[in-house]
Amino acid sequence: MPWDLALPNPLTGEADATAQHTAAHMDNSAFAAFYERSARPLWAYLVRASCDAALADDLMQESYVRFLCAERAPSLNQDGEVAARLYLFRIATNLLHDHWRRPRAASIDDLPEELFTAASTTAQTEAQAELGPALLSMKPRERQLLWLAHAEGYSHREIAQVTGLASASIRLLLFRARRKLARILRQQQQPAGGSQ
Amino acid sequence: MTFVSCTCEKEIRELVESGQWSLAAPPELKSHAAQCRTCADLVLVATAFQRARTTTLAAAKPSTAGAIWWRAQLRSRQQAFQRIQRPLIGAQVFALIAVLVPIIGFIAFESRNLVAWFGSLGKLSQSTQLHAGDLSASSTSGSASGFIFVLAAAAMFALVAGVALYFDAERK
Repeated sequence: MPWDLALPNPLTGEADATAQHTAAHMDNSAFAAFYERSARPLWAYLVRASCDAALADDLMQESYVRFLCAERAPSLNQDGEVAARLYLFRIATNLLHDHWRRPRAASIDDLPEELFTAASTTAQTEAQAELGPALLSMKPRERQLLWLAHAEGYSHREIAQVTGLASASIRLLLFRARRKLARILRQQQQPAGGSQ
Repeated sequence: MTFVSCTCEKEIRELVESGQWSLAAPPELKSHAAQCRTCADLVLVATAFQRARTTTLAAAKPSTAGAIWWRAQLRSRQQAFQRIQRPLIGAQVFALIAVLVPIIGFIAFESRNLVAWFGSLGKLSQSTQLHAGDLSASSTSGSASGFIFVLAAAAMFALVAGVALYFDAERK
C-alpha cells in the first residue's frame, strides 16, 4: 500500500479505514456533540486547577487533540460518555502535571491578576473573588481534588481514575483539603462580617 | 489532622450539588450541619464550588469543535507520516553503514599499497625527469579494479538491504 494512501486528508477528514487512527472511537458529528457537552466543564476544571485562563485554553485544546488521536480512548457507543469524559479529564490532568513539572517562569505560583480582580459586583466576579484567593493558597493537587469532588460531583473512584492516585487515599486527601479550604474561607469572611 | 467522617455527609452533598441545600434541606439536617464541623466544612466548600462552577461555565468560551477535529486530523497525519518514515530512515542508516564498512575495510586492506604509491609519488616529485612509464608502474591498477568491484558489491548489498527492510516494515 502506498504510504500516502495511509494518511488521512486533513481538509476533508476522510481517511482510509485500515489506517485511520484519529478518532477511531468517534466520528465527526459524535465528537461535536461530545465536545459541546464536555468542553465547558473541562475548561472550568483546568482554569480553576491552574488559575490561568490562557493556559486552560491551550491545555483544553491539547487534551481534545490527544483524546482524538489516542488509539485506546474509550468509545462513546461502547464505553459510554462517563468513561470518555473521565479519560478526557485524565489527559487534562496529566497535561497539567507536565506543565507544573516544567521548570520555567510561568509556573503555578504566578498569579493571574485579571482572574481575581473583584472590581464589579456581578455574580461572576463575586464567586471568583470568594474562591479565587482561597484556591491560590491551596496546593495544585488539592485544587484538583476539590474541584472534581464538589464542582464535578465525581466519586472517589472516579477521582482516582482522573488523578491516578490510589482510591483509598482520595477520601483522606479530600477531607484534609476541604478542612483547609473551609478554614481559609472562614478567615476571608470574618473581616467582611458576612456569614454563610 | 484527624479524619472525621459523618453519616450525614452523603445526604448533605447531594442536596448541595442539586442546589437545594438551603431551601429543601430538613431543619434537623440544617441544625446538624451547624454543629458538626465536618458537615459545616462540606456545606461551606461545596456551596462555594457550586457557585464557582456556575460562573466559570458561563465564562468559558471554547473554540469550535471543527477546529479541534481539524487539528487532531493534522496531528494524526503527522504521526502516521512519522510511523512510515521511521523504517525508511533505519534502512538509509543501514545502507550507509553497509557502504562505509567495506570501503574502510578495503582502505585498511590496501593501506600498504597506498603507502607505497604515495611514496613513489614523492620520489617522482623530487625527480626532475618525469616519465609516464613510472607513473603507470607505480599506480595500483590491480587494487583499483578490486576497489571498484567491492564498491559495486557494497552498493548492491545496501540497495537490496534497504528494499528488504522497507518491505519488512510495510508487512508489519
